[in-house]
Amino acid sequence: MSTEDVIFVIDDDPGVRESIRALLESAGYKVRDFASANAFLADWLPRSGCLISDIRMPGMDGLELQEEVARRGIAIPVIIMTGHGDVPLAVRAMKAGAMDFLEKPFDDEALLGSVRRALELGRQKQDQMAVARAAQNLLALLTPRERHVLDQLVAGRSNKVAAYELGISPRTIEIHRARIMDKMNARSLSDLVRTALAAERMAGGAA
Amino acid sequence: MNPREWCAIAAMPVNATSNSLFNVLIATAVDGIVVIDAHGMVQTYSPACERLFGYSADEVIGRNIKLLMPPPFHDGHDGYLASYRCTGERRIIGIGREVVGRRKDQTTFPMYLSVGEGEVGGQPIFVGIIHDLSRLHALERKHERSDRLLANIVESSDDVILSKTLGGVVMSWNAAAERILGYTANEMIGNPISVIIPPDRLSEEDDILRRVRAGERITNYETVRRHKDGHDIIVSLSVSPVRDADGTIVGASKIARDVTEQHKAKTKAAELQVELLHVSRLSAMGQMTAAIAHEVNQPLTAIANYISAARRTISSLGDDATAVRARELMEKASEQTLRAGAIIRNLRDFVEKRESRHAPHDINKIVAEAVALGLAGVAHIDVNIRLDLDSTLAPVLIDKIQIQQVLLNLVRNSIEAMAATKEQGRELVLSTASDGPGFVAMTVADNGPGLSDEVAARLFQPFTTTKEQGMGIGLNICHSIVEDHGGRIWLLPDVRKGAAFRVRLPLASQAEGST
Repeated sequence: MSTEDVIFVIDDDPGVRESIRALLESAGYKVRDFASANAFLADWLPRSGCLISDIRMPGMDGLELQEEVARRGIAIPVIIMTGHGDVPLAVRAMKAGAMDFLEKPFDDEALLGSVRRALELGRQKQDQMAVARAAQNLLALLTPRERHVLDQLVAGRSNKVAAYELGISPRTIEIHRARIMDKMNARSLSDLVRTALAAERMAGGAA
Repeated sequence: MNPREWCAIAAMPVNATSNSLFNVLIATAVDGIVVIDAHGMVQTYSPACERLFGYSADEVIGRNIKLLMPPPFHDGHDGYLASYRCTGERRIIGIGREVVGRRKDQTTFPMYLSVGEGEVGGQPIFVGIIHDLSRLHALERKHERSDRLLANIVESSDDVILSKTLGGVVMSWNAAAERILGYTANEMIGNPISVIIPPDRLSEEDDILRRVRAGERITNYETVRRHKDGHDIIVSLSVSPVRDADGTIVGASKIARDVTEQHKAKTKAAELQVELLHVSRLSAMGQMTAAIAHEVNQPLTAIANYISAARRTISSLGDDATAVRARELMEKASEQTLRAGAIIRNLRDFVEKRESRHAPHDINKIVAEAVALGLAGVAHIDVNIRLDLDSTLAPVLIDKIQIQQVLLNLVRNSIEAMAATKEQGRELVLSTASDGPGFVAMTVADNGPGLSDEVAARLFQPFTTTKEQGMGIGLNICHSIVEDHGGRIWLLPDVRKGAAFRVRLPLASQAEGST
């Protein structure tokens, strides 16, 4: 478990809020709790962890909070808690991107399991983002001509075809390719393509 | 002339008296007397004739009788007399008939003319007695007119009007009877009324006739009659005895109003009321269950969490027997909290399953029906209702009765609130409109006293009310119904006057995905 992870708990009912805090702390997590979605948003600083929110609250409810989190680009997995009979609402929350939902009351393993998965998911996402960021940094080292050659290679074209497409000789392609491999720290062509695709995913994800 | 003089005349010798008797006769006869010769020239013209025709005797005596006739008699008379002289063919002589006379002012009048033929001094004469028919005719016309008016009224009536003998034989049958019962007057007049009576109600007719015979009048008697094509019609009957000139009861007149539609509407409204009442009770029960479920669920969740936290904390103490025992006990406590949660869940599921019947509905129709229902029973409160409905809205996926109950509640609240304000200008506006993609909004707005900030703040919480006798659960129920539909209900802020509630519901196309 990463020492940096923080579990954010939002519920307007102090009993529920504090008991969840106690449970999570007994399992060794660092917890911050809030009585409303707005209090959470006002206090937000980017950090890793996950968010557990009640769905029905006065003011901004759980679904609206989810929308707001997405709108602000806050990259944190969301677990929604529902009361009885709120299943349709929970389904909507899932469709809107919630990672999980818990029906109250829940046993400790349900909560802790969900939190573990959320943190794992958050970590994976962050790892992916780190890889993508690194790939983008490498990509930035290429000249425009080298970018064109790389595009051809990622598209799966042979040196010959790429040379024809770009109107240069296959020999020149060879030279470019060696330089690209060098700049991008790639040991093989497949290594190169993976890095290029990771950078692309990042660019696509941000759009 | 007094009777004594009549006696004096009768006592006179014939020769001496005949002339004066003739003169008296001519002078006093109320009917006109005219004597003409064979050529139509007037010889005698009584004072009564002067009154009838407006000509004096001087103007007429010695002139042709056709002076007193309008065309075509005027022109044909000479020929008629000539032909009678030659052929003896009579049209009026010795008989008498109704003809038309012409006055001096050229107006005409109906008269009965009887003509006798005689001879004076070897010359034939004709004596005409003229009886003015003007008044009789006018009276007849008046009767005719009133008869026609009556007949028109009967024929144009929307209600069945018929008459029958005391034996139940139809005597008259109006157009509405043809329309409502399917039989023509030809088919019914002279035949027994029993064909329109369902077999199981034949004894009813006997009873009615018995009561009519006794002179009783029966009003607003609701029963069933059968159309020629076999379908039954609910009618409201009024039956009265018909008497002849002597006052003897000879038959019965019957007016029947078709109240089938009224009946259907009444029955439907009653059914709807019953259903609403039923749903209200179920809703109230569901609402209470939901409230209990929610309220109990929160502390239950906290208890479960605290126990789990405690168990984990004890675990860290190690494996001594006391810690193990404490852990066991806490596990059992955990199980019990989850069991309590399951009980509440089942209860809630049970109530929900019985309540909801979601189907696509036209929201405008729901609004219109809810208004009609909402006004029942508060018609004495004078409120102007305005509907502002967007006819282009797609269907919403709702439990019709539940949403109607929401609207009904809002409408009733508004009307009751406005009842406290002065009568002039009270207005309730219900509107529907699209509310962003995938949603419709209904608004119920009144111009009553509005709501205080304090009340507005806890509007949807149970036991909030401004009414003296209110329970304060109406809006709370509305709130949970609307939320169960995936919608929202709120009080519009900043309304200039009165209160306006908005209900937002997902379109059927939108809601299907989430349920």
